[in-house]
Formats: sequence, structure tokens, C-alpha cells
Amino acid sequence: MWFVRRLLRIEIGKALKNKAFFISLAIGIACVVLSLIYEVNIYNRDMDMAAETSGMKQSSEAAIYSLFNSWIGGEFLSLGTGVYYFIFPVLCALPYGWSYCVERKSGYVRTMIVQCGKGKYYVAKYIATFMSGGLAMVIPLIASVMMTAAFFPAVKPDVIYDIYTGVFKTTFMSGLYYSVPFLYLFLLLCINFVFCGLLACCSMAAVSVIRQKHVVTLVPFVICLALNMLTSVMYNENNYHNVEYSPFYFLKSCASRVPSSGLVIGIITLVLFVVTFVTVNVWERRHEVY
Amino acid sequence: MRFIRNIAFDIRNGIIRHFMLFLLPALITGIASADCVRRINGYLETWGVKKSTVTYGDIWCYLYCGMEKFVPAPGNAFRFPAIWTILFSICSIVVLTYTTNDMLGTGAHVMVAGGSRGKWWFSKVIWNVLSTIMYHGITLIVSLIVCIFSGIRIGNGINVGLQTSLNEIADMNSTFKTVSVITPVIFIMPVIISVAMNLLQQMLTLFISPGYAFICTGVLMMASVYILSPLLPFNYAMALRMSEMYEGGVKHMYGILCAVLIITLSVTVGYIRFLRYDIIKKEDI
Repeated sequence: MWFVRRLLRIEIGKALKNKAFFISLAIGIACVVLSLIYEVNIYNRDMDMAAETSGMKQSSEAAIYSLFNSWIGGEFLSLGTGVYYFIFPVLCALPYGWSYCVERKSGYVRTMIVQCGKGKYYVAKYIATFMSGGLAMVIPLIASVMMTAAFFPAVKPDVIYDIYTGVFKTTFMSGLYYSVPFLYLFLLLCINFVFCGLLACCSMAAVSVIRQKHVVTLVPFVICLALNMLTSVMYNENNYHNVEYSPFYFLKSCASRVPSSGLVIGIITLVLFVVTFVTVNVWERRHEVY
Repeated sequence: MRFIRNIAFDIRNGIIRHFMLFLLPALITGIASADCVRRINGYLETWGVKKSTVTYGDIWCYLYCGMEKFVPAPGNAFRFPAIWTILFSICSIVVLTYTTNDMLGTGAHVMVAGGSRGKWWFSKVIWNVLSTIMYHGITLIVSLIVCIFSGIRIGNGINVGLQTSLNEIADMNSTFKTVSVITPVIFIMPVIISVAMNLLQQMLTLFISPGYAFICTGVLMMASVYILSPLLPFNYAMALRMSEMYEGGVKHMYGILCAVLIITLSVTVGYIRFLRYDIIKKEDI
């Protein structure tokens, strides 16, 4: 047990103390700043206009703007949010998704397996990759919440302004969003963490078929593109698109295209977990590394 | 080693040996075109329109039209065009890693045998252009096959009502105002821009790792979708942003000029950089 903890500490240290992790965070935070600038500009412009027309210092429309629909995961209009939620699969895999591929090619895996055994090595690697992917996504989001809170009040969103929040009756956890928004925010960040951690693990699992580190880094992005296309070609019995399958959209609080569903998110997450865990901890473990 | 042998080597290793990668556009186009035909049939049935009014141009437009100008407003959330984005993103991925992998692998021996870094670089440029054209060629062929099998007429016309429904166009007054056919220039622009952007990405891989080069392409793609501007090159790859189709859209002449500038810059800067590039340096992410 002591050895597993030490191995895990080493792997997590490698995952979180590398250049690629900090570059991913820097790109994410740049998107967050871009989104914040847009939101603050719009807020100031609208407040000035309202003050001019009504002659009041504070407009009644101020309630439209809250922390919960102005942070990068809650707003749906800026370039920052568009870019961030498009490149996030790459940002999740860049810090450590490629590591197993490199270690396998260089022979480092063999050395580690001799020292600690296959099972412990693969579990530690899986956990470290998961952590790096999840944190690469969530840290810029937490930064966004903190930075946005410096400009916008954390007023409870009002359901009559649903067109401004993008959270409608059919949206996943909409009841929680309008009743306990901080809990909603926390749960959404948890979903982002788990989903993006698993996306990073997809890179690791892909090593069983792809041996190029730059290609395995892009595997999560290709998976997300495929799921995004799925939304466009899946219909319900009334011939409408009614559920969001795309992580580009369902990881946000607002419904940009069609409402997201907890069941769909749960199933996709479960499938990703089963596929990556089995591939890494069963398939790869049973294969010869020499 | 003659230059032609360099090119033959790249075609063999970068295209023929990686033929599986070129099945991706076939798969994507097959699914998207079949979905388009399904939606066309639904439209014809709902509105009682004759099938003869629909042509291949409508399927092509569904794949390559991109999206109309984005106007940020409550109720109009930013969403990128799904089919257009997957087509161009996968195209960038298909040509992303071969140059770097070859440089760090057998390509170094080819370079030594060729006796010239220039030959190696220009051979990669030609491989990139050929791969991109082939990618879009496969897209074209597969969509044509779907079109023939579904009994849709081969032609370059656009059914304006159908396109408005397929692409959820809100501003009918300024879209499709000037032409309702796919002109040769609209047809060829996505390929030209794709070639230019893939060469730019190839040049960037000499400065940063392929993962970051792809992020640059992705950021440019999203910025182009978000902002209608002649300075953002992917605008010229969206049929719905062309001045021929959209009043206030981008002009194809600027698009060609932009592509020529990007190609010239990428090839020249890449060549200069490659002359001094340390090909034995350790692989880094």
C-alpha cells in the first residue's frame, strides 16, 4: 500500500508539474479572460444605456446579469466561450494523455513494471492521467467563476429571464440552477472534472492501437467531434433533435442547441469509463510489454 | 536522390500507407449526405415540392455552407456548424503529424540520401497539397454517389427554401440574394483555403508541437465562424459567407489573395526555418 501511494504521488507529480500542463492552463485562462472582457463590456454598455434612458443609477435589467450566466460555462455569446469549449478536448489530453505512449516507446514502462508490478503501474498511470485531464479543464473554469464574481453579483437567477440564462425547463438540473445555484455550479464543475478526466484517459487507452504520441493526444477531440455530429443526425419520433449528445455543448450550463439530458451525460461518461478502464487495466495489462 | 523520388516516397508513406485515414472523410460524408437526403425527403413531403427542384448543389451546400453571420443576442447562442467543422477539423488532423513523424523517423535518412533539406521540405509541401485535395475529392465523390443513389439530379442549383430549412438560416433577406447556384469559385474556395490552412499548420509544427499547431488552427476556425471578417481565412471556406450568396459577405478575390499569401508565407518561412532546424533534437510536446 505504501508503495502504491508513493507511485501515485510520483505519477501525479509528473502529470501536474510539467510544461504542457501549465501551457494548457494558460490557454484556458486566456479564453476565460476573453469571455470576461466581452461580458463586462456588454454589462457596462447595457447599464449605461439603461441609466441614460431611465435616468436611474441602477437599471431594473441589472437582474439579468449574474455570476451564474456570466462565467465562461454559463454564457453563450462570447468568442472566449466558443473557443474554449471547442478546444477543451485537446487541452485535457495535452498535459499527460501522451505520457503512456512515450513511456511505452522509450521502455520506461518495463523498468517500472519490474519495480512495482503491472497492476499498480497501470492504476497509478490511469489515476494521474485522469487527474491531469480533469484539472486542466476545471482550473480555468474555477478561475472564471472567481474572476466573474469580482464584476457580477451572485444573485439567484430568475426563471423569467431564462432567455438570458439559457437554462430552460427541459435543461439538465434546471430546478437546481434556479433554486440552489451554487450547488448547481459545484455539480457542473464535478461533471466537467470527471468527463474531461475520462477524455484524457481515452488518449491513454488509444495507445493500444495507435503508437504516435501526437495522434493519441487528438483522440479525445475526434471522439467529441463524432458525438457532436451524432446530435445533428439523431432524431426523436417527431423528427426533431431533442437531446444534446455533444460534449462541446452539454458541459455548459446553458442549452446552446438542444437541452442536455442527465441520462445521456451519464451513459456517455459510463461508456468512456468502462472502455478506458478495461482497455488500460485489463487489455494492456494482459499484453506483453517486452 | 531526385526530387521526384522524394515525392514518391511521401506519397507512398504519407498517403498509401495511411489510407485508413482517408476513409474518415468517406465515412463522415456518407453519414452527413445520407442525413441530408433524409431531410430533403422530409422537406419535399412536408411542402409538396417536386424532387426535380433539388440538385447535387443542395447536398454540397449542406456539407460546405458553414453558417451565416453570427449575431450575438439572447436566444441566439453561439454554435458552430457541425458538419463543416468536422470536415475541416479532420482534414487538419489527417495532415498534422506525418511531417513531424517522418522528420524524427525514416525521413532523416531520406534527407541525407537526397542531400538537400529543400527537397525534403518541398516534397512535404506537395504531399500536404495532394493529401488535402484528395481529402476533399473523396468528400465530393462520396456525396455524388449518395446523390446518384438517392435519385437526386446532378446539378449546381440551390433550392433556397430547402437550404433555409436545412441550415436554419434566419436572415433570408440578405442570404441567397444574388445567386442561387453554386458557381465554380464558391465550389473551389473551401479546397483552396483548406490547402492554405494545412500548409500554415505544417509550418507551425516546425516551431511548436503538432498539438499546439492544431490548437492554433482550431482557434482560427472558431474565430472565423464567430466573426465575419475578410482577415479570418476560414470565412472564405464557408459558402454562406461568400458575397455571391450573402450580401455583405467576403469577396472570393480577397479569399484567393489571402490563400496565396498564406501559402507563400508558410512555404517560405517553413523553408527558412527548416534549413536551420535541428532534426536530431529530442521529441517534445
